[in-house]
Amino acid sequence: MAEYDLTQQLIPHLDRQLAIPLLAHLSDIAIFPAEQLAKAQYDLVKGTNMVDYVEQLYSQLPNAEPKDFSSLREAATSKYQTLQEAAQPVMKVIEDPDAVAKLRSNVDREKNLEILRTEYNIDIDGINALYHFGQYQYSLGAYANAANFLYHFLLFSPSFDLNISAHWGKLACNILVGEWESALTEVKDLRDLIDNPHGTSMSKPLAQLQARTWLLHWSLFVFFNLGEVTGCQSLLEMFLTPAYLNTIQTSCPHLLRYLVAAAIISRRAPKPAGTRGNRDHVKDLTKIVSMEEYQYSDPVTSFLKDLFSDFDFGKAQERLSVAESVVRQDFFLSGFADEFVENARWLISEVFCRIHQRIDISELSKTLNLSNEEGEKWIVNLIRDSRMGVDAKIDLKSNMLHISRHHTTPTVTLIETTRGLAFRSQAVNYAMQSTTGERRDGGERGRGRGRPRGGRSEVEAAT
Amino acid sequence: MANRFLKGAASSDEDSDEEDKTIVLSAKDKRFAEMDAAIHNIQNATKSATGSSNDWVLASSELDKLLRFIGRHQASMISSPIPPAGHIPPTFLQTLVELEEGVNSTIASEKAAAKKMAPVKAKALSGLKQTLKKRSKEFEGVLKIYNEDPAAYASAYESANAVPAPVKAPKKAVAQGADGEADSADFMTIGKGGKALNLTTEGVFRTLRDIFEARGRKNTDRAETIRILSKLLEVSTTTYQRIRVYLALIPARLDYSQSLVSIPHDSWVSCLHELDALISLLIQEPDYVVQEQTEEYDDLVDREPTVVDGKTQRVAVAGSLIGMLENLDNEFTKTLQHTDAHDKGSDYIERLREELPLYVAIVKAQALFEREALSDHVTRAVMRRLEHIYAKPDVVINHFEDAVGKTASGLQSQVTPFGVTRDASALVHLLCVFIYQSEAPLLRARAILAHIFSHASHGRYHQARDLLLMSHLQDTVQHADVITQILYNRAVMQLGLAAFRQGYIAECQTILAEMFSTQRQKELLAQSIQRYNTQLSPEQELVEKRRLLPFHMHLNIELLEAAYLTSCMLIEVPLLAAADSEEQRRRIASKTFKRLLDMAERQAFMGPPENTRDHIIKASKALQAGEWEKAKELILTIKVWTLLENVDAVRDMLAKKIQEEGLRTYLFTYSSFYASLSLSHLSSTFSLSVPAINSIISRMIYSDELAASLDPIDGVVIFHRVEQTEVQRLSQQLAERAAMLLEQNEKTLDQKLGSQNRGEERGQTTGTDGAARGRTERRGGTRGG
Repeated sequence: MAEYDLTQQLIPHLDRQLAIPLLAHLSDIAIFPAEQLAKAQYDLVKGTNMVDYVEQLYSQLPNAEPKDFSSLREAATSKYQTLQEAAQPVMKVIEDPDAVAKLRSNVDREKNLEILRTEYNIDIDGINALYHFGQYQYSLGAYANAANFLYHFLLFSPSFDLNISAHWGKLACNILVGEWESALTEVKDLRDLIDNPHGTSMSKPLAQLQARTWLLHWSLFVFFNLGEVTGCQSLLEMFLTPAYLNTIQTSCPHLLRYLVAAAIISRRAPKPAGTRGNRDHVKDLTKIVSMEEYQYSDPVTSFLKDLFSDFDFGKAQERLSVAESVVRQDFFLSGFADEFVENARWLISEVFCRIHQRIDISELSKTLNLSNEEGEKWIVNLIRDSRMGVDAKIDLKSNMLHISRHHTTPTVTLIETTRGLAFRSQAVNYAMQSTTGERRDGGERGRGRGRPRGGRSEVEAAT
Repeated sequence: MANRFLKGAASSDEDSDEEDKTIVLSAKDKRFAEMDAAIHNIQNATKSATGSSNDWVLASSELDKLLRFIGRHQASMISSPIPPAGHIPPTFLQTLVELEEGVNSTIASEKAAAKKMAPVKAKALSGLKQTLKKRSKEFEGVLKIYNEDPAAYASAYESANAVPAPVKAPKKAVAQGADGEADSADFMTIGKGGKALNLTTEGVFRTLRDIFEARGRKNTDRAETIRILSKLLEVSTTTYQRIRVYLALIPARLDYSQSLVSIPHDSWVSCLHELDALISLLIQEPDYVVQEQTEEYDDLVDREPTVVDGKTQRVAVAGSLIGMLENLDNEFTKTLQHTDAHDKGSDYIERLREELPLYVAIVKAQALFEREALSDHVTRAVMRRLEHIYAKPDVVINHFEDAVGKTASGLQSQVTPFGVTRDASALVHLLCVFIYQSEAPLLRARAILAHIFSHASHGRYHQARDLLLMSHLQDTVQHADVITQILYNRAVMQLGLAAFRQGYIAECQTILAEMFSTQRQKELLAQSIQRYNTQLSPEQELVEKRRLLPFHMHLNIELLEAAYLTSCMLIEVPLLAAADSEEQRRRIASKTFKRLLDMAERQAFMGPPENTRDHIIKASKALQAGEWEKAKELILTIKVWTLLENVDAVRDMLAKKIQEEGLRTYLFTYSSFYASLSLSHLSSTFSLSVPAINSIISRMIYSDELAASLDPIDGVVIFHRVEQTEVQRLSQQLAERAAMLLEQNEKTLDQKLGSQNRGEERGQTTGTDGAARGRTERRGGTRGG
């Protein structure tokens, strides 16, 4: 299983702290030698200021020589204190309810800065102290505090680069603390900042590509913890946007596994109104998977290809059992293994029924990795689900499933084509009448509509 | 009269005089030869003694020539120190006198003769008489002297010209024999005279300056200049002198070709050697540097590096190494362009052989520029290097690199470290990556295209495709310069071929489609000039000719066409079979392929296939009729495939694809005649395994191409196709038309309404659209130049 493990591909795009749970997971499932893992964990944590944790990991190393961590700890503590002192004045203001009220009543960031400067004698450096203190707390492992400081920093800071960095920091904190909802908003904020660079340092294609790659990786934590339905759907929504799909194809094709898995898992979930059907996702993904096969493939993606490109059910079934174990061991997907398998089975049987006219139930059960009886139950459920679009009957005597399809007669197609023609023509007619009548004031109305909207967006930006 | 000539002679400065003469002399000799010839002609034409050849037309034109010459001669004589007595050669005067006599006598006899002269001749004769009258007035004074005593005049002329005489004689020898020994003898003579060139070590700079001053003047003899300079090279001793002479000699050689299409090959070769020597010299002598911009210095003084404050002051010499290198490279291309690779194959190969030393020189220059930290020049040199290798097979590149490794010992390079063995692709990669970091967008674009070409020709389709898509060149290439467009077309063609070799048939078809939608692939690839646009002016034609690629860079159009048409066949034939109506059929087919098919259909009799195209069209017909074995045989016997690297793999791939597409075509065409078909029967007919057939049919069913379903228990495929009656079909068509009409109306209305609301919408959408980068245009087609 070790060959399908993605941790090594994922870590370069993650923050040091975010990689810690990944490695911890690896040591849980034990597919790699323990000593190597312990070493890797130590190397990873060494760069942080979590001295206690470092010491603990160090002691676990097989040939660890005794090493003095107290000096490290002292250095960390003293640094903590200096930073805390620097951030003190701002903190005071923030903790003061009067000041907060005053600041909150203002929507303009510039004005708030002005107030801070004149009334409380806090300049930019003071605000930046918040950022540094937050960053340090983050490196100490005090994520909740760090998130708090960064939140306040974001309220005041005018610097774009620091703000981006603070957003990343806050996202990491939220992830590590487990506040998935606020992490989701943070992901959205970052996405907004990355996609609309407007002449900042992010507008360079390369910087944008890297930021997107990071965001894709970091958001995995968020989406797979939000719950089966919403998480997977938001993931699909974000990953399938052309810009992010391109990023996946260009710099991190290994994320295709999560994309495919999410598509399969959320396949039967009720869809929010107005979105495309999942079948389109699957179709698109099959295309992408076979296009990127030359640079990435694993059991999960190959399953999709076997099923929808080669229509090889035997192979798909074998692949599914491998994919299942891969999913079970994956850090992000392990919680969804059962859903994954169940939905994958649905996919198989759906395609199977679409193509065949008579199906031997025992054969199908074998394809689905089920016993004969289970298979029967499964099929009954399948038939009950009307989404299959076929009529199926079980012939118990010969243990056979008969599928009959409604064939469209030419008359039906003809009616189908002409349906709505009259209505649509009328609509065109009405539209034409209304435009010729309102042509003159149309422009004004457009302008009138534009103004309040612009005003509102300004307000939104300020708050 | 004579005074007029005197004036100029008296006032002329001695110094410039010398110089003038040395250059003028050779021209003068030529003129004298011309004059003699003209006089001879006149004498022949007017030999009234025999009376047979009174060719006055010829005589008249020759006289004109003669007069023109004498005018020029006089002009040149004005500034010479020769006394006026020596100005007009006696032979000329003699001719004048004789001619006048002849004319007069002829006119006299003409009056008496009964038979009239031919009108043309008569006209020429009278014209001649007029000219003579006019001209003799000009030369009246001299003529008088001459007429009094021709012999005395001749001797006076001789004595007047006695001084330049010794110079004249050897000069004639130069004009005749061009070998080195004769040269040295000549130059010695001049040296003795103390007037002309100073070909000693001390006089190098002086001579150089003289040559620089003469350069670009009308009557400069370029060959002569080159000879003098190469002589100078032999006598120059110090490094500085040699650099200076090289810097004069190489451009002189490159200048030589102004009237010719390209400089002669041997001249080019020596030029290459000299440039190579100059680069080696500069590499050996790190204290000398050639720069395009230097401080002012006295060019008559020898200079050496001096040590000031412990630091060596380097000697900077004005000159452009990169310019010379590029010119030399361009000349190389020109020579190849003007050598016919088919008729003069051995010549072509001989010239091509010189690419190796040229490449080595470029690499050395690159190392030199790197040492001087001239980043711009390094980039240009690297680009030249890349241009020499990007389209070559690995064996050739390795051979080049071996040669570089042998000569370039002791050189340092950051870009391409010497002494490291690397394969050809790695080298191309290194060079390209270096150019990507440079500032010049043009070179960057070309480097990317060269990289794509190299990837594609090595069969790395995906890398090449990703590079092309990430470069976004297909959006901007139509604004690029022609050379870049040509390179783009080449890269795209190669990419299509790579796709074909890897078995990506659909990709191959899309990539190549645009190139083959016109009939002008050769022009787009710069492998021939436009044939169809007859309004091309000569200048445009010349420009186009200059762009043509030398033969060894050509892509094989026949192979590309074979790949394209075969992909078309594999894709279009099943589609054509699936299409119900003629209209649908018209919509899908690629135009080129469809036209060929239709043409074949119209032929009453189809003979055995002769060329590649015939093979493919016949194969398509066979495939349509379900005879996949015949189609396979026809396709596999195409000879061009042997040019591909992995022929056998490609043939296997093609055979398999033909089987599969044959099955699909068969099912589309004949499914309406069957209620069910046994899979094992299909398997034996198409020699495909049952699972493979299963998979193909499943895909067709799933994608709604085929109305059928499988019955695994009996091992058959059951067709559900419901046949339409004619009325149903027609009414369906009518309904579709109506729906289309409505859609069109809605679209038009949308556009009309949209113009009002568009402004707002655009403001909201551009944010995300504009930020979308990467591979959105994945299937976005290609564009030719």
